[in-house]
Amino acid sequence: MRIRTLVRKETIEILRQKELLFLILAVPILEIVILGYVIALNIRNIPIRVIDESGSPAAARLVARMASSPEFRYDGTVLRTGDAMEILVRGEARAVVTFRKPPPAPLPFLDVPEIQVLVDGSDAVAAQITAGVLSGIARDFVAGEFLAAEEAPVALLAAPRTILPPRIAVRTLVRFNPDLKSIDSQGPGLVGLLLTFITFLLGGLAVVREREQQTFDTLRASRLRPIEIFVGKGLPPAAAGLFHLILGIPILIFWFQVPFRGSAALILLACLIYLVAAVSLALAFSAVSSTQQQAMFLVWYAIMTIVVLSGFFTPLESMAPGAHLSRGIAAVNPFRYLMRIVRSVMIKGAGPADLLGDFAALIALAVAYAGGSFLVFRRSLKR
Amino acid sequence: MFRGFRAVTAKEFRHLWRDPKGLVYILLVPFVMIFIYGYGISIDIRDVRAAVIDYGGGPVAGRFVRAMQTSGVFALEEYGLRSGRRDPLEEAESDLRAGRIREILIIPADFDRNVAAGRPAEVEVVLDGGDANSALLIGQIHERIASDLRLALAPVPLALPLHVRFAFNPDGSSAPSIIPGLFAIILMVVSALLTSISIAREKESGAADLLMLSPLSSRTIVLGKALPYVLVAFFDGAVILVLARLWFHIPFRGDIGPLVIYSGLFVATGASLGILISTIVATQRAAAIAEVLTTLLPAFFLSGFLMPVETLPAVLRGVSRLIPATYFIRIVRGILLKGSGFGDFLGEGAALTAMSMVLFGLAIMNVRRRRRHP
Repeated sequence: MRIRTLVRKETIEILRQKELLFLILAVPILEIVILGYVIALNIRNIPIRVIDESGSPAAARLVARMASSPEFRYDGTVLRTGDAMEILVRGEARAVVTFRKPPPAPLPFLDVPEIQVLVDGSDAVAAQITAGVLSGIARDFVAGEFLAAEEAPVALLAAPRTILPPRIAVRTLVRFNPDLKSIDSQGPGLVGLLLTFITFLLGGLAVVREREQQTFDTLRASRLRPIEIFVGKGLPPAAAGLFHLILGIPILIFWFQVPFRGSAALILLACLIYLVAAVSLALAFSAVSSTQQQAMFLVWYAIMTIVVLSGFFTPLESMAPGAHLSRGIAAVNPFRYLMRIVRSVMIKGAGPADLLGDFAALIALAVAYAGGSFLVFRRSLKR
Repeated sequence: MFRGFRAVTAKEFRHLWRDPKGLVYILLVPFVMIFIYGYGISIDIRDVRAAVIDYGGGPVAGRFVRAMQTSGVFALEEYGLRSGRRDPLEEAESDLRAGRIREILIIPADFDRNVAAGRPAEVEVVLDGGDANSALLIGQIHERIASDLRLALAPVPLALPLHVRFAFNPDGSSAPSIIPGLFAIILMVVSALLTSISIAREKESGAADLLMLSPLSSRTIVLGKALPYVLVAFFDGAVILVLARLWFHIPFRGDIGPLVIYSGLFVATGASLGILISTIVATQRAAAIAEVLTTLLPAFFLSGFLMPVETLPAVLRGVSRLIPATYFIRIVRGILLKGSGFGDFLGEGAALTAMSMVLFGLAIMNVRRRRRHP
């Protein structure tokens, strides 16, 4: 009962401030629009340049293939000579493909120039994807030239069939998300983001704001027990997180067309457990800060770390083996487990039996953070 | 003018000093962030748990599986008939759904026969599309293994005439490109977020009204309050650069001079943005949320820090041109990694200058209006 009064006071303090209310409404929309588009690792429009020193017709065919793929933007000019490094330093392109005259080939009928690709490594993520896609196209092309040579009668005369490489191919099937639409796989992460941002921002200020305004002492002097203050302070930020979820889900469904399959109850349950962990962390940051400035500084980096080390952008398995700090944080990152659960339910249609491990981890973290945060909070009450 | 300026700056510094905890946070957190992000953001595919179901068991199929093993990317598990599973495929599919494995490799019974006969021979790879980014990259690795195997099995040994190299960052590791971005983000957080909250605090406590009544000019007040954060930002920046050089061995190919000048411009833009926001909102809480929305979120996600700007849809690409970090990240990467000089970034510098002047002008206008009509 006494908690209700505190929750009411907190809520009134948010609602009476028009600009704050406006910002709180703007947060989920901007969050989704910005993050809904940037999370794809499929590159597009990467500017490339071509230097052709070979003059071979095969080079021209390969260039045409690269130019037609949506991953690259190519203005059509073919330089006869040029310094690839120079082009990258000037920032005119992110990758330069150079064709050289090949050394004497073992297969004289096969006219394939030597292909050199120089990728701008100063943006490593883009560079690796660019290199992968470009060399994929080049490999396919060379393989295609082999097969074409095999079928051409002239070539058959020049080279007996047996010297051609075997035709081994990979057929890739993708389950649960056959078109590899990245919004489908990231939609679940966006659900988590909706819960995270506002909960941390409001929760991170909950305690320290009163301390700065010196109304915290009034609260301490009241008959509320520490646990009541803790819960009363935590509920409004958690409610704001849920509110954002409700606001954001229609955008995900109708604008980004994220498929919501599986059990909604299971997703909601995971979200509620996650909110306990998130609010507890935010209140702990608030309790250890003496000004709102400090709290916001900590909270911003906390949000970013939680999001980046969750597998939202880059697979967690990709972290360097020696990155113990990053791996440790990822292991105790509640966002990671929330995302795995929501992803499995929404996209794979997983049921409770598949998710026992993730739920256990999420619950354990929520309990640990709530307990730890309450201890920190209680100590700060005594100060 | 100068004495007033010094007084405001000294007052703000005292705020920072009085509370050493805050200073420790501001100086220590970026230090930790470098380690977390320098190692944490990477797209090297590793530890892909894959179920192997080999129905044929021929030598070429065996070579394909061995090539996967030696690639260092996969952790393979035999799901074949020998493993004692009743229906390996069904079991593998259920493990894929539960997330215990990320891939199923199926080699059909006639695979080796097809290879020997020169007919097309296919292995089948089933991937978990729940993580589209990983699936895409794992798919590429399989293509590479298959095409290497084709060339290796050709009776006349063939080398694919293809050489791929990374300029400026030979191993393509992520730290050299992440750390310049993080440098920009940290400068932005200190100069914009902290400045705006600090000014909003004075408004909240009523101290701003006292300053407004003082004979100090509006410009002196806001510049004096922003300066300490600009200096702290520079300190943080220096710490990051030293760490980047000594711990992460990031090359420092360009000169320090241009980097300092452009950093100064960037920090000025950040501080102007912080000041402007604090003149619009009434409380610290609103300032913090507004700052996160308008400055930090875009700086993190629309600036090319994680993904290249070119891949954004046209509208967001337009937005990215209004974000100071977009220009600054390009500058820092250029100077540190490519060895670019001052003259290579005149356009970027002009954009930053224009932005900081417009933002600062708007902020001063707001302050003056408030002084006239409080």
